[in-house]
Amino acid sequence: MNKKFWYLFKKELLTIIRDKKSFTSFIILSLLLNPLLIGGLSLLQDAQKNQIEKDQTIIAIKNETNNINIVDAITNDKKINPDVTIINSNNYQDDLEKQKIKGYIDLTQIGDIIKATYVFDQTSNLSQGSGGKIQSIINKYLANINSTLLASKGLTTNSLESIKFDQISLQQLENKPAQNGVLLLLLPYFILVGLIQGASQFAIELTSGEKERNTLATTLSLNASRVTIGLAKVFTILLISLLSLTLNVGSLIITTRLFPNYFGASSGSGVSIDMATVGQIFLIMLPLSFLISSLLILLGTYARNAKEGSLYLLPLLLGSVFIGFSGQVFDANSPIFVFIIPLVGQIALIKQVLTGTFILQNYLISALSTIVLFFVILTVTIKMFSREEVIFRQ
Amino acid sequence: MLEIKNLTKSFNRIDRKTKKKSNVGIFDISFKAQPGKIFGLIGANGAGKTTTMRIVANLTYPHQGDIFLNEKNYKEIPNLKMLISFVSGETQIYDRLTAYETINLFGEFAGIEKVTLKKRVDELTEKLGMQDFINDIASSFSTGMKQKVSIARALVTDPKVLIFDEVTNGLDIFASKAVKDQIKQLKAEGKIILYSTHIMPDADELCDDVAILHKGKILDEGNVEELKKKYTQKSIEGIFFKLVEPLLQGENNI
Repeated sequence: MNKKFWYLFKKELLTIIRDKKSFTSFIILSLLLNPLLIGGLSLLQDAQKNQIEKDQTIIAIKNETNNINIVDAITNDKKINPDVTIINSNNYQDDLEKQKIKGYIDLTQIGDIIKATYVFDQTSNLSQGSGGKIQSIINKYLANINSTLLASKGLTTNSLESIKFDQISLQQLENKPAQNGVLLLLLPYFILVGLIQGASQFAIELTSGEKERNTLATTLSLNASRVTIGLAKVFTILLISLLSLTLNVGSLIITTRLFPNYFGASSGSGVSIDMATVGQIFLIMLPLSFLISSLLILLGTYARNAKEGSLYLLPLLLGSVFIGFSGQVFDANSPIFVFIIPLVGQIALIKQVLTGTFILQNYLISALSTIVLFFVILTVTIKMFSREEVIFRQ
Repeated sequence: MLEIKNLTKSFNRIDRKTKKKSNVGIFDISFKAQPGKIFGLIGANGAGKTTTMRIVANLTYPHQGDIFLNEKNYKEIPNLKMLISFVSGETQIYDRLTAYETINLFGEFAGIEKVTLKKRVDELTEKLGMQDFINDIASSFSTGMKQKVSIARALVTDPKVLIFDEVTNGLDIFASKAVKDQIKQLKAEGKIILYSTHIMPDADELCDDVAILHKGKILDEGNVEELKKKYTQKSIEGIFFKLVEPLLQGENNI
């Protein structure tokens, strides 16, 4: 890199940093968006759970069978039903609609079997949440009946459950984070969006924004080649996208520490992002940062003004969001061709890192293919910088 | 001396209303600009002044023709941009750099040694009266202040050729006078100056030689006094209308 590149790089960087409002909001949003979003969701979930637990659940029972024992047990046996109040109703649906009750159990006779259907109101969170309590009551009642019946024949409930089925993943067995963790689903998405979204506004600023402000001709009149001018812009955006990546990953680490339950820590699926993992993710995303920076500059340069630039970047952002979200499709053990595809390969590699199954060969394939594509895009970008119909397109 | 020979650069343009295709640009432009004189390019909007200026400034390239600076073809001159500076009324300065940083940047690119560069920036600051805002970020500058910075960044490399494209556009009467005075001083220093404007009194005040452009072609060019005699006119504006009006009437009749 020659001196002129560094002069231009410094100028472009100052242009970004001195736009204090945009730069500060970029830093703050990158750092706080994840904790605020996840924190908000987590708090809402907890609040809802607490509300359901504390709620005095009142229901009714519509008995269309000849069996009154079940109604009696559910209504009066505190061992079976410790906290749900049963009331009488003349019009079950009307009472549910008017929220006098959270739901009602509809008991019908089908041959020798009694079918118990719990009817609830989908528009009410408390009504929906009460379903769990009712299911637990019915299960207890059933267990009670079964155990009484079996006891009369000198048997225990174990006679009915001689085999207990359970499933456990290899990762849980080895105390590694499970593949289906929320983190595994969200992390590639957050990283991709952070990488593109953070840098895109500044890429527009340095390309179509410069056309709009009429400073591109000023830059072209500098004693520098267009290759140097283009490269300085690409590398400035690369630095910003790496900063964006760092802030987003950092913010996600903070979020996992603040709200471990949201990421499945309590259910055993695990939250595991240590500094080594962060370093690995950083290395995985590095080639992608190069590619995205050159793509952003390419699209921004082609646009006539900032508004048009934003429009061109939208498909790139939406495409990345889609791929980020579809991360479930590409798992850690994907076939080798998956790693050749930029973006998709990186998602699969992040999963490998998070599940402790990182394969260096896959990383090298992914990095190489992404860097090759970066050079292709860079060549097109530089060529575009030499085309007057693009540079002076207004 | 700056010699422009048979410059041609054309673009296809589609009229948004009529959808008609037309070939616009500049066609076979030739003229000579002398050191210590101001050569004016006079024409209405779309006449081809800016395209010609951009080619001479080496910001864009001609499809045909050559430019010679002191008898050397542009294509053979290394670091050509250090010998030419381009200032345009449209071209802005970087609004997130200070005036000092902008001027300094152009000096750095010209490879001027640090101490010499600082001395030169200080001299220009004083010469153009920029002491009060030299370290301020340009976003808060008035048009006049910005134009002063533009001129300073053009002068910092001490170029042989200076190109001023509509530089007094949008300036108030004081700023416009300051810019014109500066151009006169540069002329006195023996620089080759190209000046384009559609403000005819400015052209009368500054230009020694002019070329009248219309739709990318030079209608006539030469010494201002000689052209005034040739067309029996008292001003460049008179020459312009004498040359252009018959063409406009002819175009309207088609």
